Amino acid sequence: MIQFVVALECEARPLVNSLGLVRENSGGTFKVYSGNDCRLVVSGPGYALAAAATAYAGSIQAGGPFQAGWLNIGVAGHPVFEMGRPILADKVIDGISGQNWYPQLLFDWDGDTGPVRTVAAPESQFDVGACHDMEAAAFFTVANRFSTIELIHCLKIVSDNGLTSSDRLRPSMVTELVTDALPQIKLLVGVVEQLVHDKRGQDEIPDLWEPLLEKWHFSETQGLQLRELVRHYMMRPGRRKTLEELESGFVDGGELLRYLRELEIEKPINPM
Amino acid sequence: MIDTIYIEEEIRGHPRTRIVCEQFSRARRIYCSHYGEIFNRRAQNPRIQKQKPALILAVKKGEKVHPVPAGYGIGHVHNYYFSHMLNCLYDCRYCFLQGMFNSAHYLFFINHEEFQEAILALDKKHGESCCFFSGYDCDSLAMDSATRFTGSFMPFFRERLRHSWLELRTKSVNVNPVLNQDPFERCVIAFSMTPMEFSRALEHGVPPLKARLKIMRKLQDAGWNVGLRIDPLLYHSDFKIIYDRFFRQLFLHLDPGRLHSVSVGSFRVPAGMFRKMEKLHPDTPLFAGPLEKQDSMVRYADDLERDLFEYCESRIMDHVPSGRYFPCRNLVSDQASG
Repeated sequence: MIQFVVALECEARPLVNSLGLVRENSGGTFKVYSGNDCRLVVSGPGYALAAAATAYAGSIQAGGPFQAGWLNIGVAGHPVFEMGRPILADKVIDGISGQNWYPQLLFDWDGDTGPVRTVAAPESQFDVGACHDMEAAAFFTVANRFSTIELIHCLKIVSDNGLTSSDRLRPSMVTELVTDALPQIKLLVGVVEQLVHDKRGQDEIPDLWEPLLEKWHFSETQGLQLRELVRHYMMRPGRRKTLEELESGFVDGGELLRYLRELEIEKPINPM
Repeated sequence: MIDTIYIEEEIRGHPRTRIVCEQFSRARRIYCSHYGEIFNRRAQNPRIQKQKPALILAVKKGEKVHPVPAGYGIGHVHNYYFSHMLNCLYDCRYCFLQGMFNSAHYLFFINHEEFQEAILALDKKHGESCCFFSGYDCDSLAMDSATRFTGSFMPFFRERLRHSWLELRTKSVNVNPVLNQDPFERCVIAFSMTPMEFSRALEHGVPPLKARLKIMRKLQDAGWNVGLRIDPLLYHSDFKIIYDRFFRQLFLHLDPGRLHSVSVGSFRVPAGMFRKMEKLHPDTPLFAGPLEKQDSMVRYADDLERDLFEYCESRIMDHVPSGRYFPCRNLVSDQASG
């Protein structure tokens, strides 16, 4: 699952079309599009709305926290870079709170990377070398509550620079800039999807004990013990019983727990 | 290969920063005010980071040298450890480092001179046999081509200290920086070893045992003190066969008469770290083994540990004089009996 937080509808449109997303009925809080294991929330411009929209996306995330990748895509000013140039953030500077975030670039990325400074209002004077936006830091602050930092990224497309002004920027131009950057955005989506997949592989201990929990009554403590013992059991090379046999071979849960406990003592699991 | 280097602002122009950046000239450089902004942050996943760790260049503030816990050592009166680097190039499932930090990035402290001042002060203070251990929180040699640690600390110990020894603990075969220097008495290059079967399954990225043995022999032949660190001892239902084969292999390739020291350590990890290690690698059979929590440490049950330890000890003593053997054993029942 990839969660997109995008400030403007004109930024969202190319992503919605390209990823095949459809409008959800979100009750009017934020515009939400979803499909193909992605969700996109249109936050509206600025720090507070970006924070609120990210929190909203996190709160409706299926599968619990830490199971999604998070992307903030949008346009930004830059002192020197030409319009249309995509920059993947390697540092996000919160110009309001002073806090910094360091997106972890744990993948090959041939495109440009650089810092993004989040400011309260559009600026015509830029810090040397940094993109300027109004959302990235708020997005990071909140998204990091819902995911590990490795799965949170921000890609900005330069929309104005020292030679042009953001005042002259029209929605159709923004849509065009994002459309032109779709190849890089899709690359980013691909690598973040892979990271999400890798992480899910770490987290997923198959719920093998659940049928057993349903079959017999276990206290809370016994349930936790069962979970650990079954997890250990399934790591045994050449284990003698299949899960089905564990389900059918005992008169009650107590007998199963005793069997698994005794097995751990009598035949400890080897480290390889 | 390092793709990203984080650099604390205050050492932007430090000569050692320049050297490291030249070493990884294609890496992107990102400046931060304090390494903790990256390294200590919560909601990080070290296992994902381990796919492509970054390098962080920083200044170590506060205490730089720490006393070694009781029971560790190779025969010196005073024992300390210091860490010019946190985290390791290798990925050993049993290593406490996996549960120690929030991040898997390599944190390299460049203020070697301040470490050396602290070491010098302790050398003067004690005026007698001291040993300083490097390699508790990192591998001493694995990243030496970037850190130039040996080039900085070995001449310091050789030329400026009178009483103090240096132990460099490693699993690396990158010993050219050592071989390029003249050997000296007060330096031990100590290699951590586990049997080949364990190494293949649990020590990811570590050079093969045979390659390490070859390098150890090369160091011995060049006149360096070489130490063996059989740490941690790992239980297996066939441990006698596995460790028998292992010790035969070790003492066939090495000259036991020229080994400076052999130490043996049990598997023991603080319970909090163990939980983190298990959470990062829940499918690792090592963590499902016959371990128990005793006094806030996770370790093998006393009887298993005793069998394992005593068996290995007897095999070692067949080859190594008792004066060069240093067990690091920590049974709860031993502690209770004083």
